[in-house]
Amino acid sequence: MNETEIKKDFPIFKAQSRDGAPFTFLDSAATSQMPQVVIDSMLEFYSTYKANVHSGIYSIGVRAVEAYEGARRKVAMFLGAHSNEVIFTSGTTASLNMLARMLEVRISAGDEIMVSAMEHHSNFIPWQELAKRTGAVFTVLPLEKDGTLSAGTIRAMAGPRTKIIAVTHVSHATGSVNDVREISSIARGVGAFFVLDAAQSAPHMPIDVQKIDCDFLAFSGQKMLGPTGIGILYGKEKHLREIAPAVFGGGMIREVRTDSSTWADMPQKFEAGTPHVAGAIGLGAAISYIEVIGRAELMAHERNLADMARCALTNMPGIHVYGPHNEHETAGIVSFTVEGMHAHDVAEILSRENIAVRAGHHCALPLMNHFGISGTIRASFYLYNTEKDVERLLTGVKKAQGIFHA
Amino acid sequence: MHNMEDELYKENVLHHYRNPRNKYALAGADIVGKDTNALCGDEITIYAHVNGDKVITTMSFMGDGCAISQAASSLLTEYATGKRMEEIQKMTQKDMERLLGISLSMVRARCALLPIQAFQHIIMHTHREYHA
Repeated sequence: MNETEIKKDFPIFKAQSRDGAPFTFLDSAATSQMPQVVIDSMLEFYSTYKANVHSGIYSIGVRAVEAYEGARRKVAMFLGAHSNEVIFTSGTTASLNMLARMLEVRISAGDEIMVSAMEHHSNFIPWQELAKRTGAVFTVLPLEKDGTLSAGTIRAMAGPRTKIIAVTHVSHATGSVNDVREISSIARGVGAFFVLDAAQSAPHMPIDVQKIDCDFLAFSGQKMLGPTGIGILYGKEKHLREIAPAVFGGGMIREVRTDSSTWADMPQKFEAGTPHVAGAIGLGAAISYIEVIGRAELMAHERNLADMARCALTNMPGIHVYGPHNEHETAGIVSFTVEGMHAHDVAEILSRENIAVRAGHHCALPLMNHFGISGTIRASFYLYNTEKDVERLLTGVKKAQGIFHA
Repeated sequence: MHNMEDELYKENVLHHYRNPRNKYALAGADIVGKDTNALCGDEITIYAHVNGDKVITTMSFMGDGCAISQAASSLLTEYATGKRMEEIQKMTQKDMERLLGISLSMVRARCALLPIQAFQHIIMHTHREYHA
């Protein structure tokens, strides 16, 4: 993998380099940048065949449907799923909120919904609210000292009342990777739905929903070289066939009468309204770009960079690194604090060096509480990052320390 | 490229961050106000003694945060002494920028305005102040 060549495919790096300082973008866990081919795929739709995907009999209407459904097939292959198990949404948050509404009829008072303390708020609050609406018990799985989630904890706490176990594949705040096959076997054992937040894993590592055996899975296009506003909710065919939609309107009906209506087949019954067609096309193009390189290759590259950064930061005075320290238990994310400095101040100084990192609580307040901190600085790596980016980060952090401790 | 030392983190800002003035919970405060920066979760509490003319005689603050919010809070507690309550509650971004001696981006202005917002969101007050 030649990341220096890869960087050239992404116009943002040229656009944002300034005064000879390259643009070091280390916030792909928040949103990734887009290669020109992805931008072009959407530009082509907008400039030559923009049409709705519902009932356009004219030629560009047909072409738009073909492109949209072609993107769905790509997503299905990317996940090891069937096309009819792939629902286009506006992103992970929308997927999880919609799913929580879809599963509401399956939850009764006294049932249990489980999430972990490492969840992003978007895989936390929808379930907390569902528990409130239904009278279910909302259980937050505690973490180990290093912020990892032990499958043993879940095994000990899950029981016959447990109806939903919703956890993330990879922690967006620390990069910690969960043992999803073990969790799915626990969920299977107690008869709970296993909901997997794949926002931080789908862009970076091979995912096979058959092997993981999750019931539902959600991720966003914007974190995997695609545009904002497009995401996926995957659900097992046997569930999606039976579950009723939570959003109603055009494009999702079979029959509408004044007293009652019936729904189209899956997945159309879950896609009311005009979808983000350009976004789906862009996501399809992003998947093609990623597949040329291969996700196993991506993961190895990102882990290598994160491990470099983690080792160096761990050995620097005044730096605390959070999360597991074993390279094989983590994805390409490093989270740290600088003694005597607020995370935002560090990020601000790095920004003046043309280095973009995330600072704050990362929408993971339960995890920040677990560590007893208000926030961290997070560097997240992707295919376009290089060892030079890691070196620039380390130099920038030293400079920040110099300014504050001078 | 902008030089950080010359801009946002001026020596005065860093000095107040390292050595904040009036950082304690004021015993028997007439006014306690509190607010949170939704962006970063930083929380500032402002305490004040106010006389019968609603003039601030003492102001203090508590809470952790970035250099900007800490320096802004520290500077505010000094500036506010001897001023009328409403004058402080009406302070704008421009006023805070003058106090800090720096100009602020939209994102960082929220940090600097946090102590003002805390003083606007009063969570406790004594009757003496309001009915005097």
